[in-house]
Amino acid sequence: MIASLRYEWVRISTVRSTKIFLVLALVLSAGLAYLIASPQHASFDDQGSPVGPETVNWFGAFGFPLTLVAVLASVVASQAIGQEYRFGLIRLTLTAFPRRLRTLSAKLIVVVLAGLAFALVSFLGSEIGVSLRGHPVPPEGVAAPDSSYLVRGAVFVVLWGLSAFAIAGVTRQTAVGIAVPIISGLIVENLLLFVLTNRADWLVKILPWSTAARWMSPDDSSDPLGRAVAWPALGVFGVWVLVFLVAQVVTFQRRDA
Amino acid sequence: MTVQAIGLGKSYGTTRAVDQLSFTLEPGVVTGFLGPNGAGKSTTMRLMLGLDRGDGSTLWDGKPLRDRVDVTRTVGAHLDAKFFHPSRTARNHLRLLATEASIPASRVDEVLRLVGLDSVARKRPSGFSLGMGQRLGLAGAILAEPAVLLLDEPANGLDPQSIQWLRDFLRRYAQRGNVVFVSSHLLSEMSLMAEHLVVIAAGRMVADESLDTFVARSTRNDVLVRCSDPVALAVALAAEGITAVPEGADGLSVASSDTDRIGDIAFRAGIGLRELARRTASLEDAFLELTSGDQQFRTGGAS
Repeated sequence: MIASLRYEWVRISTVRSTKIFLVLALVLSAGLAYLIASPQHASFDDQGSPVGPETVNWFGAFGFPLTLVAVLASVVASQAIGQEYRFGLIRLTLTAFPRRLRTLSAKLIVVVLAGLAFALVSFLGSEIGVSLRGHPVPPEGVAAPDSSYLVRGAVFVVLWGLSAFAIAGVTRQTAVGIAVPIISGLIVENLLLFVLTNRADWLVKILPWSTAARWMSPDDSSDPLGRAVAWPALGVFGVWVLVFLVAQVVTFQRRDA
Repeated sequence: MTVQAIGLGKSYGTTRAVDQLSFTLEPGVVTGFLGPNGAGKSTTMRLMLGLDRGDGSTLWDGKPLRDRVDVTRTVGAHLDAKFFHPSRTARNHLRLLATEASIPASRVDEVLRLVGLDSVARKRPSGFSLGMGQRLGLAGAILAEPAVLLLDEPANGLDPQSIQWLRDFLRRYAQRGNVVFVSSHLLSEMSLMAEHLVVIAAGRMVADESLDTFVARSTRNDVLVRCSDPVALAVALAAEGITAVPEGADGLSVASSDTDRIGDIAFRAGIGLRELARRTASLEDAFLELTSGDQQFRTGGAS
């Protein structure tokens, strides 16, 4: 197993795109956090004049970039298996490591670690962004994400990456692994949400990627979704990811390389 | 180490690509793997390595490959000249393959020098020619100095000097007690490189024997006789149990390799000989004769 992990580490670290996407994640997070952390008034009176003190969207500064970074992580995750098929490397990999389950497990572990690395880089980028705005720590009275929020964010990135990894593995296509979560999450499931809400609410609650996006529900009781929504939503998404991974294991074991 | 392929088989839908192939690869010799296009050579190699799912098994010194702890030192395979990531440098590609057996970086550099790619070691292989890709593939296969080399068409795209280098290298590699199994459709090369042949057609075994035996089996091993009276000589040869068929105006193709005996028979019959020449079939002759009718992608012939 150690040799398989070492192989995966060399594989992921010797491809230029991994480094490019990590740098991109840092820059994107810092830039977005800088823009989002712009102090704004939360409410206005009838004449349009601001009421009360300025506030900073601290949740948005950390949460929104992470949602985009999850897509970058999914590219690296899809490449972990998709590029092996695209360039025929899977045959070299499975010649050196004929135990397929072990090989796939090593890839999965590296995808999880890569997801965590992307989440950490995103948090770092967000911290840089808010610091550049002059708010290295949350301003007095501004609601800020706690450690639970950051852990949820990291879990979200890892699960999103794993879903892309599994889909790329089943289809043997990097692009499909990247595209399906985005298209499904942003377009297909939004259409389903529009059609099914109030008709089949139970179905709405188990759509994979749109449910996963509820991880951002802030730890603020004023939010209608509230704290109680985020973890169960990630749990639903986790079950979906498990189903995708089982399909990947079965196809990886049974099909020709 | 010996490699035993036992009852290998593979179907694609209703097509039987490989059917009950069994053979043993012995150390110390280069074994050539011959067959027409679509005969199932590449599929057989993938089945041996466990890359394709199919029937049968392959034992590497008595064990399936997946049960061996030293896989990279057991077998080095080169299946295609384009199996690399275009943005990973040649050196990093080999570093990646070196991880299973913890091969040091110095060996990576050594192998790159050996195959003549040291000057492009830090270049990305996306711009490599087919020949350079073959060299990189071969470098990956020999990296851990495995006991078995499995090479699928390694001479494709190589220039004549490189082919000669490959031939010498593989013969030396086998002479060190290793198993070398090479598929090729370049029969001239195979006749210079291999000592043993496994020949398949339409997925089935045609021959598993030494190169000399394979060539000797061809009916094109005969003696050409040109003489003053071919009809009389044919009768005299038939009386001695030797078959002869007319060839040209004054010639006979005699199904024998014994020129002395044919000369004696002609002398006793009072027939003057003008030419008496032994003709030995080439590997190409023998191959074409034994695989005729089995070529999957046949050309339409010269127009």
